[in-house]
Amino acid sequence: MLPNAAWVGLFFLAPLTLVVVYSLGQVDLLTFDIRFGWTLSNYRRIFDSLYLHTFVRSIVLSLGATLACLLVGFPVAYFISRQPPRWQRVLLVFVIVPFWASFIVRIYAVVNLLGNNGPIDRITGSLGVSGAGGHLNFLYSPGAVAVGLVYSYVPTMVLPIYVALERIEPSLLDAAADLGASARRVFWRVTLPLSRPGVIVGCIIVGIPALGEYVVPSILGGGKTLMLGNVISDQFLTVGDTPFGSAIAVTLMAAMSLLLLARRTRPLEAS
Amino acid sequence: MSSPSYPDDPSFDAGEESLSRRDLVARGARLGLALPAAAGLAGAIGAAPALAKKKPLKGTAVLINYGGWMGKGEVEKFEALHPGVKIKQVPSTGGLANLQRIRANPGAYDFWFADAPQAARAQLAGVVAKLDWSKIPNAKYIDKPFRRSYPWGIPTDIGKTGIAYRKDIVKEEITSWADLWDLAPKYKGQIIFYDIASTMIGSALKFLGYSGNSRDPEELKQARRKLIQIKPYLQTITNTGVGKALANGSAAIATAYDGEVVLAKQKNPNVAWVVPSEGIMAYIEGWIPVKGSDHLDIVQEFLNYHCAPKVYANFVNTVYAAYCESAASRYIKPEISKSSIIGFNQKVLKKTEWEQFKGKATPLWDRIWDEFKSA
Amino acid sequence: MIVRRHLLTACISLIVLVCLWAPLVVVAINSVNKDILLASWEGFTFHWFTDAFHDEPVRSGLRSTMTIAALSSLLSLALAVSSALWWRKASPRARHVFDLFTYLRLILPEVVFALALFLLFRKIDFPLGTLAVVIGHTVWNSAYATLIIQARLAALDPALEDAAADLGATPWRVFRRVTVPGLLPAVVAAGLLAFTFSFDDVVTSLFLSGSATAPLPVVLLGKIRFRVDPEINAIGMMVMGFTIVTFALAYLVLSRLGRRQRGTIGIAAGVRE
Repeated sequence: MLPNAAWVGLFFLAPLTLVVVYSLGQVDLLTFDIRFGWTLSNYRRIFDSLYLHTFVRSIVLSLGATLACLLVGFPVAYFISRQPPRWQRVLLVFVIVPFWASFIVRIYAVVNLLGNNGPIDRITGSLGVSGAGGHLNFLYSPGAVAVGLVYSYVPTMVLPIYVALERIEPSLLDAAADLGASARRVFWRVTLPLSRPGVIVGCIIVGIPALGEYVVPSILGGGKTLMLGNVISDQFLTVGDTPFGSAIAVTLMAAMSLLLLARRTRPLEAS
Repeated sequence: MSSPSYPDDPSFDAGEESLSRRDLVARGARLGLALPAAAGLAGAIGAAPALAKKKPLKGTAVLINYGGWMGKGEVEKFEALHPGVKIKQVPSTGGLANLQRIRANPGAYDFWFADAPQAARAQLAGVVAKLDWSKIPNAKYIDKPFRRSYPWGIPTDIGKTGIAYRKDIVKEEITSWADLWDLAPKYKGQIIFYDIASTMIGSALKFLGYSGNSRDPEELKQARRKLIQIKPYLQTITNTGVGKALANGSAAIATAYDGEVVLAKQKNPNVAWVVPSEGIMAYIEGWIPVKGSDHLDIVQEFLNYHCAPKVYANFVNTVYAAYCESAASRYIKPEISKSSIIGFNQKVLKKTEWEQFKGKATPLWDRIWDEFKSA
Repeated sequence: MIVRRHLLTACISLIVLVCLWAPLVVVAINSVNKDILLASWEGFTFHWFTDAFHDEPVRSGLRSTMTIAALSSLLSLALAVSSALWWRKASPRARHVFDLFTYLRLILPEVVFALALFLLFRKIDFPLGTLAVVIGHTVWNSAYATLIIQARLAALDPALEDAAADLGATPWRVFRRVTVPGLLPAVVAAGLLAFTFSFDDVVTSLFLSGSATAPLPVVLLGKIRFRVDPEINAIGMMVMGFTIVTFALAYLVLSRLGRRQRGTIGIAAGVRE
């Protein structure tokens, strides 16, 4: 345990503290010198409506994407877990392998697919469903960002749920069936509750990083649908205002910590 | 040590060269494609006869550069000419991020790609080295106006950002920024703007009749208003894929730089180019040396090599950008060298304003762009 | 494959898989298109592949990325398994603290964390480069892995291990013959996830790679300045092919080793096979 503690301490807590310290400073944007003035002005700037708007949008998109991932990912995880082991491996490979072709390249391919004059636009066009100029105009909208998020996070949702479902002994389900439960009942009363740890893990490791997403909203959002990750990274990479970016990050983490602390007792205690 | 004057022949196989040099080139070309570390490479060629009389250059110079923004085979040929020398390219992460990396880690980089405003900013931050121009005689080929506008290093390319649109989709004629703003509601969702603060705010300023590099808060406020006014009609704000969108019609109007328009026009002749009557913003960019670099001699040698007309022409032909050396024209593809879009004639020059460092107003410009993007 | 009993989920799974692979088809088509703008189909060519192959930053980028991903996953798994085992026997208070830090590592936006580590490394003069990137990746990869393995461990019946111990097995033997096989699916899943995250990571790699060889996603991002050209798509295909081959080989090797071991697994282990 000690090496783990040392690891977390050195490479996680220390940088974290540094971020908090920076958030209380002020930067001279021409020389990039940072004055550690213990000021809260960065935090005050956050409550400027400009950024609150982005906060809300990020939360909504993230929640939506998580829900969509769950609805899509759970059936997949379930299906895979009910297969004989050899097929399980094959299917898992099929789920994971696309993600080895480099995320950036794939997201631009999604741009191709979703864009005007792309295959989806042409199909919906011929079916008569279109907007301005005879095109779907789906790309570069919050919807496209949501689709992109779901696309990137599906395996992240599938894997933990699969792991939880896989350990459910078929004999357990057979026993329930023998005792007279219908297939649906078996699912709702046995399978679903047992999958809970996996579902919760999946939602957390999708929902929370989705809030800080940067690549997907910048490529699929067309520079119009900004999320928190974009704002924060813009502050660091484009503007150079490290203290302000740090302040936004600290606020985000504080908000999430509160949310998580609210359900402190639950997630990982075994059934 | 005087730099060799590079013959105009890019194959560097001119008659005067000895057989051993030819061997070297062939071996270097082969080795250039293998993956040895710099040390390994030096060791492998160590057996080859040393180059002429001067002290040979040695080491690896690190260049922060946009991927692919280099002549095809340029680095390999240079390395073949100078065994023991490598140019290692590190991906650029954007102007400011590059500057921050260099400030944080000066010993790690030797030269980098920056446009004029970034170069000026870097100069202010004290990270730009002074070049010894006597070691870069080929710089004489760079046209004087561009040398003057880019004193920190060697300019590699220039460009101007005008309006491009599809003549067949847009029935009206566009001749100015005013036209674009007027037509925006009609072509809602079919307009693309660049994601570059300097260029877009500058263009809005020119639209209003001000200087495109204005530091006046009042003028900037008006520019911001103009930008936010047009935002609802934009399809996207991006640098990527503008040429493609114009060529295949998924966008009808876009701000585009000249090189990209030439490419799009080749694909689809219906793409038209406009130098707006109110004025056009232009940029100049190039490579500048890092202060404190241990390999300044290699950097200077490479920059000198790069400026040789044929080598530079190869660069231009690869990256498809407007260029700074008329001496290289005869080697450049005619679709670029003879293009009226890429060329800078007198009429266009009068309307052109070069993007410059905004000094103390930089945070204000950044904040306006922030607000525009978040609006 | 059992399909009929689970027709609904089978259909959904099929649609999902099609959607996952569709962009790859686009990438494949784009990689052989003559048109540099990719505005329309201009004809078949493989020269983008040769261009990409000869591009030194791309090749070294791929090598760099694979190394980093492999190291980071292994390190993360080691940390995750050891923490999960510790957690089982820890006091509730210690557990809460541990959980807090695990979640914290996940909710920190990557951009912030990457910059923070960058600043820290600068202050303590730790060199940026491959090792720094591995450390950065491991901090959050280990959090993911910990969650997955913890969930699985929580579901394993401790009675099996107790039984093995009662039968005279040493703790190490219990671990190897009972715990590890039980944990295996979770370890594999966590390992795959960690590898994939590391492989595709842009932000942390951007900040921490310094002047060392840039990992592939960073190289790609730098190449996409004004357009996504076919060469970039070709790189995507090459990368995928390379990774598939690597994993196929690894799988073959591992299963050959596994076959030798399998014959000796004891009775007390309720091993699924």
